Amino acid sequence: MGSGEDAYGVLSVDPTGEHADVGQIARYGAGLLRFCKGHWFARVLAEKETKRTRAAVFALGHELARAIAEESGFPDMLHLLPAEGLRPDSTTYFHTQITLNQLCYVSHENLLSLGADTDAVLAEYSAGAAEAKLLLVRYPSAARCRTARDALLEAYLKCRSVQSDPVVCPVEDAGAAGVQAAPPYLVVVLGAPDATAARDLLSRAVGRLPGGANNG
Amino acid sequence: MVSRGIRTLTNEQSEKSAWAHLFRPSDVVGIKFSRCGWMRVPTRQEVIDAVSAGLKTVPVDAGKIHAADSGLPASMCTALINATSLKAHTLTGFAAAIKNYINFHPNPQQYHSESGRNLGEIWLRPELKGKTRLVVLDLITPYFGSGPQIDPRYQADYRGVLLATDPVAADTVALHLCQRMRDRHRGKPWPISPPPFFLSAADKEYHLGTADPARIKLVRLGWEENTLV
Repeated sequence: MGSGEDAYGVLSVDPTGEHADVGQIARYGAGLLRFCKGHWFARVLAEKETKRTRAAVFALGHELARAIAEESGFPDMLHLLPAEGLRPDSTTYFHTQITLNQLCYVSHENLLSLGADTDAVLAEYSAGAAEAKLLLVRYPSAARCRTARDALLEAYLKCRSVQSDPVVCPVEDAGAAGVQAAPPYLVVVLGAPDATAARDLLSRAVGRLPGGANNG
Repeated sequence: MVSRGIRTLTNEQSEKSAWAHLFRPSDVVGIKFSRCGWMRVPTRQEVIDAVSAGLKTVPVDAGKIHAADSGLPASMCTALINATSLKAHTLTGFAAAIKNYINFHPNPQQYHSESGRNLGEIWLRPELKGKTRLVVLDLITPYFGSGPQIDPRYQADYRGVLLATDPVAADTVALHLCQRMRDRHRGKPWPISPPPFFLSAADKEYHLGTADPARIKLVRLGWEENTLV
């Protein structure tokens, strides 16, 4: 991959699975080993899982990892996620609309103006007995951040009038959602059980951003 | 399974009568299957062979049976059989009968946008329109993870086959099955995403069949355990 962050990102599209000690981060299940190290993402797949093939997959995985000398850091945005309520193995780092819609459908239109030059993190949180998703997007410019916010308000939250942030609304068949722009960051809560939960998660996320809630 | 399925679908006692219920000796039949090799969710050769063998009982001459993934000579065919597998799909939500015809379009990639909403319009192309008489979904090992690369955790040992005359109804049942597999695997709702908007459009806009579960008669044969639908 182009970077260690992107290697991590490919693995994190599905962060579930048995944790394995290969490379920097690894997951295993049903004969498939996935790991990232440096800017490399690797898959080692057995046709059929047996004790022998599992051992072979791991042996090959370790050999590959040893051949990769570099290691790299993980996406810095991961540190912006509030820790309280964060569900384990639920965080994905990505760039594009395709990945977002694969994880949590928003719209067939690229409302959030996602692309190769944007960084995004999506994570699942416990909200009481229910759950909510937190989406954090970092844009190359404040203007693009605000444009994305406005597009999301109009087309997804159906809030046409310009309102001051944070904006929290019910979404048809999708619980409650919230959005707050703190350029260059856009913070979005999706699928919260109610407005209170959405507002709470939004507030905690914004509070962890550089500059906190004073950006706007 | 295919033999028993076609006899039940057509309410005929013999395999010959069952296939003759849908096909004539004068037919030229195209079997559109799916290779999907990279995802390891192909239409199994055994399913394709069972369909071909069934056609030959009509009898449809072997020289008038064409089977292909791409390049099927649909213009020459008087009848089509949609024989594909079931998988969740990164761009369209899931893929089964309706999406199987994407290869008939010269630019299939355009149908991956907007969650493939307009997939149904491919079925209205002159060389295809009105020709599909049978859908055979290979559900032996359906794939319920979204790919695009195979993850064996998400390949089910389902051991089934679904036969239908209505491709939208077939896909509606397949969608429900795929969703149930996902939810069962994670122990909580794991929504298929993006939503397969093409299914409703195939019903309401392109009139290819029904996506209304109330109007679909599902007949189960064989094992009842873990059928999920």
